Amino acid sequence: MTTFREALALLGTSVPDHLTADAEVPVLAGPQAQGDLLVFRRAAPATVEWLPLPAGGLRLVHGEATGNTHWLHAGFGSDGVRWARSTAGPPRLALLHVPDGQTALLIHTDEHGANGIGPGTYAIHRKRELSIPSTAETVTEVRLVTD
Amino acid sequence: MIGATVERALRPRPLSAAERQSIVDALRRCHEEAGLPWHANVRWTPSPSATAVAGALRARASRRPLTFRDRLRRRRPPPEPAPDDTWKRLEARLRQPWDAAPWPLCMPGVVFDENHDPLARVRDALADDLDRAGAPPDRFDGALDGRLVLIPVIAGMGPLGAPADEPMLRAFADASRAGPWWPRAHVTVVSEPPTRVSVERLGELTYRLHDADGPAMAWSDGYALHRYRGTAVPADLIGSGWHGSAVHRHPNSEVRRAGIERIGWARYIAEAGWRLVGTAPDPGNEPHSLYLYEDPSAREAVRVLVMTNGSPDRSGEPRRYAEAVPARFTCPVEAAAWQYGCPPRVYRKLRRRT
Repeated sequence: MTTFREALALLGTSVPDHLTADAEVPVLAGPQAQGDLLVFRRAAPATVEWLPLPAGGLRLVHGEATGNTHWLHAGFGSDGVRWARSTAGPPRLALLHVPDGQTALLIHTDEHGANGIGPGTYAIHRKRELSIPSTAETVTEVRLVTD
Repeated sequence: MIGATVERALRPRPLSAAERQSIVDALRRCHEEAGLPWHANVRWTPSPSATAVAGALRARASRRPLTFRDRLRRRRPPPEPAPDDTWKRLEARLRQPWDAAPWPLCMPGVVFDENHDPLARVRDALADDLDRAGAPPDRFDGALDGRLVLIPVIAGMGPLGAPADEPMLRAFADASRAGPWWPRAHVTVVSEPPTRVSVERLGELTYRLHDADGPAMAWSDGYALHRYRGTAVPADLIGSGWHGSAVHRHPNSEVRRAGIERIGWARYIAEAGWRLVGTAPDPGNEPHSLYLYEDPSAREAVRVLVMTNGSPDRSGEPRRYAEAVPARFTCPVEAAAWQYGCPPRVYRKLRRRT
């Protein structure tokens, strides 16, 4: 099992004081959320181009206001983990494939900690909200949430 | 570099006696360049407000004793003198360099174009306010159809760069340390620069007026513009500390939008008395729940979902988020699923939220 400290160490980041460093990161195959991201099982289209994750992790979302980032990382001994860009547009951010016996990590550089993702194929979605209405005539626009 | 120049120009300071003199001199040169006689009669107003300017235009030009007729007339204020063609002739002379030279005129060291006038929004905000209050339109405020962006000046703040080597442009730019000015055949009314300017930087070359806690632009006589991120907002709304009920009561949707942006949905729905439509446990996020609210006046075409963060933030407190969702939702879980773009049955099975 991976602890929170070990997960953050992959990114060269230390654990925020208010969180428990030695907490184990549960590895799940069911849907789970990390702040404004949601990971759930979803078959990938046959045409997607699977790519290995960069050694330092893939920066999925960078919070402009806070400077915090959601990273997707192949974790420990999981070099078979693949990701693909989504062509579906927002809110789908990326697709993820974790082979049997391996684990991907979704790691947030601040309060959201780390989530372990077990074998399977997943979609990673980003939260959205309606923007504040301006005029009655305006079609209410949708925007992505940044945390 | 340009940013620093603009920001320096936006730092208001009162005019010195020498600057006042050089403004008057520049106005004289403008008249001479346009072939107009110089009346040497400059009246200063503490602000460009419509009332201050109307008063200065009405004031008697000479100190000769009042006649019997004048005394009869004093019972009501003298009529505002009708605009004459002074402004038109100055403006025509100002345009000459563009008619003569190929577009664009170059200015050493500074590159601006029509789309990158850093102070256009600031200038437009003041112009809109003056127009709405009925200030006479025959004024100069540092721009000409937005074309004088080549010498980006804003009245009261001076030129941002050296103007092209052309006597009229030079004189016009030299006058721009003054606020907006109104030229007439027998008098020129010149307003003082503002005492306060508060802007928000939108991009490298874009600024707009912004102050959430006070006037974004103010003058010594109390004339002021209130702007929240460029949106005109009532002074009393700012004075109330943006109370949600005051924001909610405001009929203008742009003002409400600014208010909601300022205080956030969470405070807004509480203070404006939004109604709870439904609540449900947040799957994977025990012990927290989801709350869905609606506008009791049914005016806003959205509902608001309140959700609690899965992890405490650095203060140790769980942070709550209130975000707008389509008004069609009556079930908070379905609204949350919409936010993440997943089927509600997937969201209901959420195992863990961090």
